[in-house]
Amino acid sequence: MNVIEHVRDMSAAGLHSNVRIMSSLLLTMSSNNPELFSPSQKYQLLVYHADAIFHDKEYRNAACKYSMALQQKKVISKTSKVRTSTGGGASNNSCCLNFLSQIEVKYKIAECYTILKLDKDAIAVLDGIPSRQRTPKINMMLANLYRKAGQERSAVSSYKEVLRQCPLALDAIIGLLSLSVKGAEVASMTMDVIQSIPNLDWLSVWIKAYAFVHAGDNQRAINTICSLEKKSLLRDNVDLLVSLADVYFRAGDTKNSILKFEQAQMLDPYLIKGMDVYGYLMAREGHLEDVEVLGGRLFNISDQHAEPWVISGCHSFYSKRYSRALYLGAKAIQLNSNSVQALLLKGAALRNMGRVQEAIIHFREAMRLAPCRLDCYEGLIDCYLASNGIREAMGMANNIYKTLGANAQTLTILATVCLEDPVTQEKAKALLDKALAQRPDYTKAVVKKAELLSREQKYEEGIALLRNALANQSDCVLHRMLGDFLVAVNDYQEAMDQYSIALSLDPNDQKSLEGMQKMEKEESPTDATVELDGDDMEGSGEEGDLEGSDSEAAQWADQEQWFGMQ
Amino acid sequence: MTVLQEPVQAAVWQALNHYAYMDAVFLAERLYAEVGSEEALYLLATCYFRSGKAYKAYRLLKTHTCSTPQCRYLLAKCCVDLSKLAEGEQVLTGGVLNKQKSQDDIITEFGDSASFTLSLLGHIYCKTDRVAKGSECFQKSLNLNPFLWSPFQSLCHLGEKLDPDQVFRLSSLHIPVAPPPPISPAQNPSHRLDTALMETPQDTLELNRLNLESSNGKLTSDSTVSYIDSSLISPDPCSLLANTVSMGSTGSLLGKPNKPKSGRSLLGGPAALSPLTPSFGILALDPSPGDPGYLQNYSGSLDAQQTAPSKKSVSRIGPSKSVFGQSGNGREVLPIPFSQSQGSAPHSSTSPQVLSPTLVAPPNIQPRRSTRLFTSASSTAKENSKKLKMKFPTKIPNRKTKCKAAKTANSNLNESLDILKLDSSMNDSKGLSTPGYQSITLQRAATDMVLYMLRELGRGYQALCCYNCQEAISILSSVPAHHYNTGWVLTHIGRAYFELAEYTQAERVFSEVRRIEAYRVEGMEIYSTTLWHLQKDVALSALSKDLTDMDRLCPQAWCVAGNCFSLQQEHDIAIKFFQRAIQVDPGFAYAYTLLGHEFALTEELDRALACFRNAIRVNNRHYNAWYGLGMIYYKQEKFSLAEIHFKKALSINPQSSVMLCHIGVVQHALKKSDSALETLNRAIGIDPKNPLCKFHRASILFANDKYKAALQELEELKQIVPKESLVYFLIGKVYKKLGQTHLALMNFSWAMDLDPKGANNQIKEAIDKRYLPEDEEPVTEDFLYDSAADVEESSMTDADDSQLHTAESDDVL
Repeated sequence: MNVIEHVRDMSAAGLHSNVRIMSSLLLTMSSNNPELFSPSQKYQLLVYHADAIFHDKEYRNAACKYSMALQQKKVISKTSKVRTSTGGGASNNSCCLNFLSQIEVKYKIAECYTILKLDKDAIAVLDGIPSRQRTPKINMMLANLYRKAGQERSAVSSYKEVLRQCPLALDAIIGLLSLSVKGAEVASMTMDVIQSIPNLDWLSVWIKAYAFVHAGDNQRAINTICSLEKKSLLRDNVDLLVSLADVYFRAGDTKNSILKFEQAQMLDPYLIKGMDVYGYLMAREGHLEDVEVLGGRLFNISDQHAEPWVISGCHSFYSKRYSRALYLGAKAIQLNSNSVQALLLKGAALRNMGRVQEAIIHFREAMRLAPCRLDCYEGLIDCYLASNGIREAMGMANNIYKTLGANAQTLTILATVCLEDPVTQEKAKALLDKALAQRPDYTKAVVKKAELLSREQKYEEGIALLRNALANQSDCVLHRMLGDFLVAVNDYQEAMDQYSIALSLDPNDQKSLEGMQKMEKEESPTDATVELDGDDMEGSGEEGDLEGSDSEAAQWADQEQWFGMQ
Repeated sequence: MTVLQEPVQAAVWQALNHYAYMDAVFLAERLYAEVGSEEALYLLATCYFRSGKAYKAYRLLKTHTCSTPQCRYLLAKCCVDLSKLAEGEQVLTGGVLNKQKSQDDIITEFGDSASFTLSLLGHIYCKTDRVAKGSECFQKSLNLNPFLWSPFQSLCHLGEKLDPDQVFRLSSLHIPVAPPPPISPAQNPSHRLDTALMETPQDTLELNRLNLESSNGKLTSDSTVSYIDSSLISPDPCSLLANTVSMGSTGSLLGKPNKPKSGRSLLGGPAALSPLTPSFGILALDPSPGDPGYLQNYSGSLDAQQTAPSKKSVSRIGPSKSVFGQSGNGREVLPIPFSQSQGSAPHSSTSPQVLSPTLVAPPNIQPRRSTRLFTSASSTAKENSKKLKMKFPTKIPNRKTKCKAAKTANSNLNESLDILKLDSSMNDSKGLSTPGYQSITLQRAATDMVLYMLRELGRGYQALCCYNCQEAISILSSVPAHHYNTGWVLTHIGRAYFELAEYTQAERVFSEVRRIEAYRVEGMEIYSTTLWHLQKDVALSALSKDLTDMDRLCPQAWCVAGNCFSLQQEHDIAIKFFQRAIQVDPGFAYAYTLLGHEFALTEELDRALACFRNAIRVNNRHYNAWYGLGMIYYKQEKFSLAEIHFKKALSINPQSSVMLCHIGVVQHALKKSDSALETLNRAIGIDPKNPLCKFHRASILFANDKYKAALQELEELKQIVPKESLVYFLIGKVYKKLGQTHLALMNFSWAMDLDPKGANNQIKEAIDKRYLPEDEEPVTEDFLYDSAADVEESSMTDADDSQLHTAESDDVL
């Protein structure tokens, strides 16, 4: 047993740190005395050494060592022409050489480059492998790299190659679908397998579902995934649940989305995928404490994923700490440059800090990554509006409207933009009516319509609209707006009711409080009392409650805080 | 799978029935681990829920996709319990993509539990301030199931004006066929039979709810009963079975009954299963697996768990025989015992020509039923004797409390429906069975009886909720004595008296409640306030001690304690207790109101304001809180706001003279003296004896320089409250104005004699101020309210006095 074999055994046994030291020493020996090892032995040593370094996560170093190995390999191939003819001990080495084949080494190099985010180099290395020698693994990596680099055609052909060799490579299927390959075409590639294996009949439905997801047909995607989930065999599958939740989210159905995410993370507490959207939704709905808990939990699972960073970023963002949110978003993007949620977070933070141009860049990137997600466009339009670019905003809104079809959400976005421009008020109104005809309960549209009506001082109409919307849902904003309208028509009694309902739904809603106080002031008979009241308000109330040493009282004071501020 | 599932499920249900929740949970957990089916999931969740761990059931059901309506209902129920209302709503109504299911969808989806589902949904809607939708749900729920009280109660609380006659009746929905002509029970045995028939559901109910805590006697009786039952039945149903099998419906009927046996052996013998329940006792003794007696008992025992046997499942029995085999599932199919024994009857209607052998021998059916009825009659007879129940059928629901009566009635109804269906089908095909008719009529009579009771109580309750207190009292007092002498009825009568401010009457009624149902906590907060008004501190502290010892987790007890300390002038402690009440149940509006009054007494107006707002948030028809808000705004001299709030309170309780009186005072403060006088006249019209109204009218008249009228008013007032110093004080002022100084001084000195300590200074002050004519009015008003606030320090000796002050102006409500 020679020393190389020892090293090989150690490497096979996973003693990488030992291999590293040993091979380093041997390599030095070899370079000081080239006669000591044959070229192929040296090649082996180099590969083992590089492997050991790779396991130590020194990827740049490893890539360099792997390249040296490849270089050495070239030397062998030149000399081997002579040697193979002479025969000898090469047969013994050949099996090892297969194991440490050139292709494998190239794959390793590409892996290093991917980790180092040197995608171009990685593609170059893999491209160097003749297509006939590419293993599915290589094709898959290549396809992913192509897709990331935007070379869609090459990506599609690589994915197809993977599927040809492994028909159940579902990630490849998703990749293909995301590159807008037709579902039927993908399904045809897996058909044989589906038919030959029992209990796999759901696979075609699965493909269909993801085809809908990537085609942006949310409604049908939801239906298809639901039908999949109903099958008892696939009940409570976490991945399906997350996909479903995500589609619900895209379709604007926040409630269902949150429910499904919740279920998914209850089923699998270590779930990371998709949790960024969950956290974002919860933060948007105002459950900030839950978001904080979720973020902390995910950090415990892994801080090498973007999701926990995004979640705590959302928490900071909605607690109005924008610079912190910006930092966290940047960190998330650093970990995973494909994270749409991270881009959106960073963009929103930048926008709210007034750095609109930078924000626009981020939203554009998010848009490129997720062309079906409306909130990317919304963020962008907000940016334009913030920088007085009504024309750009209009163009963008029209664009969405055309590409994603005329549903309530796109109509509302367009109407929002139209509302900004005094010239297009009428158009906005028509659009909002259209949106409300499609989805009478769509809160955003209702809010916008109500704003419009209040601007036009059509209070009665606004009251009717809001009451109508409130028949099916209760929403703090809607109640508050109704209160404002009622004040406008001097129905103080009802207005008071509506404000209190709004406050009971969201105790921290400043606008309701303001509305209520304004109303009280208007109501008060003389100016003198108003001022007196004002003093009272500031002087008493909350502080007193919170200072109460009694724990019960303090607890209870939480409940009455918003009232106490009166 | 089912082999294991059936007996374990039965065992779980049995454990649940015997309140052995630990065992039930353990078994259900094992079962779920073993089979992992949705049924097992539901069973486990049910166990969790019944053992009071709603959060466990919630988590469990949430983690696993559950598609069956039962699971969803239970999940929603848990959500509501854990106050996750939005989620509960989503579970019940949430379709895909924001599309909500309509109520009709819910009805079709949830089938016979739709009434409960809708009631739950209505509750959610009301809690989230969608009152219109909520009341719609409640009404639909009542439509589906007129025996539900809580939806009606909620509707009343929402201020809906319902006609109880329309609500508590069987709609066409419930009776598919017209009631058959009544046939007088000529024969004694048949009559007895029918009695038994009517008592059957009660029997199951007993099994279900109450009595298993006890009594070997009952056990033996039951087991012997079913023993007889099966032995009597066995010859006949065998032939029936043969018939059905020969019909070729399915072989499963005969095949299945073996299964439980093997299952039982899995569990280690029948004895391990249940030495208690009759059904299992019979099982052990019963040698023949094909005996329907087994089935009957088996499903019967299962049925006992389900309070309302499902109509749907019953209807399912007819077409699909395999149902019998699955009866052990306990969830999906719960054929009620009666229809079970008659299982083949509906079948006959669907395919009469096939079933001719059965129909040829109608006595086949009849004795079978009669034996069963007979046996249950004997068992219930035992029940009756034990519970001192009347044997007369119409008295069935009499001794029960409200909800229980409703439940009985419910199962009763279902039973009767099945019978109706069965008999009508038999009637269609054959046209026979007089006892069937009799049973129908008697069944109808019983349900009508229950519904009649519900209507009466409903009318009374509604009147009370609309604050037509006199009417409520008269309706509730006219219910039969055995109903009258229950805690529920008396409490509500007491409440009505309380609202009328007839505190002595109220106190009498409430003390009667205490005597009859010392364990009753509902309504005791009102009692305590009554005692507070009457200044009966000893009774109040006794009540407080009693209740807090009994149940520390009910808000009422803490309200009572708070009132007790409030009466002792220990306001800080009282506040603590009221806060405890809120802590125990944040949805208890009255506690907020009491706390608000307490804060108002300690001059912490902002916190009081917050309390009243909270009370309104919890229940926006809680007029006391609106009144409290108005009171505070009045104190802050925001008179128009005060008027708004008083008017709101008045709109809820239009009969309240106190409210009118306050509005009058506020209107006067807003310089709308004419409307103020009008309002006060209305108030006095409602309650001619209300001294406060008269006093205010007098002072307004006085302020408007109508001295004569004021004087006359005060003279009248003097007749009503002869020992009220303020009256004399005001008379004095009037005389002063009229220039009759000696009369004025005489009255002032009377006033001082009557109240030498408390209001003394203020009277003096006021007398002094009398010489400053420009701000006379504010003095009077301030004075009145100040004295009202101070009155407690001034340790009144006179009940009338205290009533005028403390009661009316601070805590009357």
